[in-house]
Amino acid sequence: MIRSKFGMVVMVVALFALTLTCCAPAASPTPTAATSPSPTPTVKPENVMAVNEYPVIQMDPSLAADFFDSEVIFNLYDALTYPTPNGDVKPHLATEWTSSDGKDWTFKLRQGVKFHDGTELTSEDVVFSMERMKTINQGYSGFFKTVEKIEAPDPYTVIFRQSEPNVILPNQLALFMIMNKDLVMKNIKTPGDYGELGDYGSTWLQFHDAGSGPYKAVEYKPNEGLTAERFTDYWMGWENWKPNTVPIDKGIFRETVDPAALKTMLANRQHDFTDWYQTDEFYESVAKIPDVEIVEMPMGVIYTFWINTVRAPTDDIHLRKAILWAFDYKSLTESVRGAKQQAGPMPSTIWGHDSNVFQYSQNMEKAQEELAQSAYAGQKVDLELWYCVGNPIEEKFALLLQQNLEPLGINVKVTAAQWPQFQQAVSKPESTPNISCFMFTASYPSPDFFLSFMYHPAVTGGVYAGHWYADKELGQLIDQSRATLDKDARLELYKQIQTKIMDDALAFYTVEVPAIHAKQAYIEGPKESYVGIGPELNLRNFQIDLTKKAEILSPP
Amino acid sequence: MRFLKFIGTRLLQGIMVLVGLSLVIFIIARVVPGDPARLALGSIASEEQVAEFRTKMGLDKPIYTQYWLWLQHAVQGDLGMSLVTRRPVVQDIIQFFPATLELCLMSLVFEGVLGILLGVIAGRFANSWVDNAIRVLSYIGVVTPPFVFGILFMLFFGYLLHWLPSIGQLSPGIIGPPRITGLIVFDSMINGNFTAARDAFLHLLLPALSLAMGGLAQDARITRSSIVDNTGKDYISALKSCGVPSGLIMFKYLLKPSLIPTVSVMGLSFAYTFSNAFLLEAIYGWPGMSRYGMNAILNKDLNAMVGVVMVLGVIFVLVNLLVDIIITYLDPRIRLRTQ
Repeated sequence: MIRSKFGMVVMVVALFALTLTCCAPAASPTPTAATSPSPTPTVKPENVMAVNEYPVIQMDPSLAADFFDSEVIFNLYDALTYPTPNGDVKPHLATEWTSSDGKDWTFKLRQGVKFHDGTELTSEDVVFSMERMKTINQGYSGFFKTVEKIEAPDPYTVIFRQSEPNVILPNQLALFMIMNKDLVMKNIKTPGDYGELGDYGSTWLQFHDAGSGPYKAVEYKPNEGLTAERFTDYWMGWENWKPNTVPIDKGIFRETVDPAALKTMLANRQHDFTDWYQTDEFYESVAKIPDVEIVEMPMGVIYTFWINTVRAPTDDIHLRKAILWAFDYKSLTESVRGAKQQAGPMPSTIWGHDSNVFQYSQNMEKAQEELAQSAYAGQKVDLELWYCVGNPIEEKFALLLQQNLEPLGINVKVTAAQWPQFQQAVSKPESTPNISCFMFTASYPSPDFFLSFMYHPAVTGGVYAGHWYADKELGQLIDQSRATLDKDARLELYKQIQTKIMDDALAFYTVEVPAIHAKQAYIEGPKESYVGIGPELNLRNFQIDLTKKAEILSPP
Repeated sequence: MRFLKFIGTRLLQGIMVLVGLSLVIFIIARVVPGDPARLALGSIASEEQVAEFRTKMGLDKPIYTQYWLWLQHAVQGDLGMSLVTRRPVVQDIIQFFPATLELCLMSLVFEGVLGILLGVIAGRFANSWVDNAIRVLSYIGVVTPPFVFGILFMLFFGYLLHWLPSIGQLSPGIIGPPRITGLIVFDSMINGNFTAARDAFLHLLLPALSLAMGGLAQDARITRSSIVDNTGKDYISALKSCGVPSGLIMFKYLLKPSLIPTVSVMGLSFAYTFSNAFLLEAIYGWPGMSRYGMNAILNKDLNAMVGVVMVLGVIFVLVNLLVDIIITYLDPRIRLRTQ
């Protein structure tokens, strides 16, 4: 019973005291961990590296197709080839590969490679993995549509037989992860979508791995993330880069973390390496946290903004050239952290990029000249521009272009669209905006990705080819490059293709940006950066500096 | 008997509401722009792959056929396959719902205890500075969206003061309990893992308090008004004149009738908490159903969208029914009418 004001006050104070008692420091998870000012167990007892990405993890390599999926599967699985920093491939599970016609490819497998369950990886597993990928027909399987048959003449040889010459196959195979056939078959669930193969192991593979990669899946919690442990018997072995650095023992891959939470976790040393989708303000803010560093990884990310070539008024090449001359590339480049002006349709960090390729710069006189030659000279012109909500670079571009085109009498109607609406809009030529903004990097490491996948007339339209330009001559050049085994000859073809693309004025080639991450100072790496998605977050690419970590985590 | 009939009628009405809701959300999910098959397979998928996937998921059928098929499966407890996670939606909801329930229950505790307590204090000391201070706090609580509290509390208690954890349900290094109910605090306690229970409880505090703020403020205002109204009634004056102790008057004769509107509002507010949890779960990396629902909406994951909305619908119907029963218990006039 409360008899007085005093009693009431005592009750309130008691309630808050109870709440504060609950907030008292919690015990550290292990007695060996260093102490921390935070009540929660912020100090990790092992050499853990926690990373985050967006949006959810798809661990099944036959379904994986997004950024996070690729990063995760590069940790759990191995492919026949591995990306190199300049956008080519090097031997990995395959020690060598040959082809006489670009159609049939023979790969020699590395001997003694062990899956996580200790069994040996052989050509039978490679055949199984390709058959599974093609049967499920999702994820990256579209890249292997030329593969008609795969043979295993002996345990360490595989032959890929294709319907047409495709010299890019070894590069595309960097995304083709080899699965443990026996393990997957043991975990098939029936009935399923694939007849006697039941669900082809899909249900099991959502939560487990069947790979030979440097890390093995320990626990996947949907909506939270994946915990993976170092595979000590990994065929490439493990070594310390420096006397005081050690490999990462445990990786925590967190799904979709809010920026405020990310900042708090960085400050509390609960998180080690952020994704690269944060805003400049975020990076500036976390850079002020002691011992948090900003790292730039040149991933070959380009902001190529399509011009719809089949919809009026941008169906007129002179009008396209007029708006390309009018845009202020320099201002945009200067306003984006770490950016440089994109030159041509490919990132400059990839081999095959033509450094002499023509690039537009702002020139209002030339813009006026081109406009005068167009069918819209002297008329009021309206353009529709769409970009995806939440991308600050695309937003900057849109507003800058709107401002740049005003003196030409061209009105730009800017729409910030959600991703589903954006994707729907670019699925048809008539609904694709005059200018559609998106950012790209390579899925498979090869210049071919930036050319055939984005400009071949057979694949025109959609997010990757919102220009709707279907030029026969361009198609022939791309086909020719795909059939040319000689690398030098192919390089010449790539140059011709780049020149042709620039001549036809299909897109704004604006900026090339690095992937910017925030990381704890005790995380060493990345050792290498790659063009494209996946390998940059292979945790073998990082180590922990134990001395620095102890200093940072020790109490003041 | 009439009481049972009353409950039966309300249940029947609830089922009709749910069927209507399923129809509306099913159509809305399909009418909004975006190709779910394309979104599920990603931008790099070819048109052939997308077409094959569309056929496999039945998305090429007319909308009424799709609905009829969905309804047939739904009554058997099958809500279809998620296009994003590629798992059955029911399996996902079973996985994620307990985390949301745990958050909402904790939020209800905060709302009930703090809201009523503040309301009682404000009512007891009506028009004093205490009442005015609580009034201001209540207004702030009502007008501020829960996600704002979420970010502020996280930055204040997590980032600046380092008092409370700010992400997920457990700290790295803490081994969670084996799943029994999915409510981590409860599961940890019945497993005797008090380190995990304490850690999970600490993780609950900030998101639950942020979620409770709006309802808490509203409950405080309503309780205060009811107490002030009832204090002036004749039966209270009679009790006072008979020398009944003020504490007894407050808790036995004043508080019980004053809580009827508060309980009604709390019931509705509890149901709304599940919807409000959408943004808070995203902010706090809470692996609950609301976060799953938000991902479903952003990725146009049709079956998951419908599944989550239906679960929310069932919660609304059940909570309303429960509130009716509680009010019937609290208010003898209503009980007599139903009998």
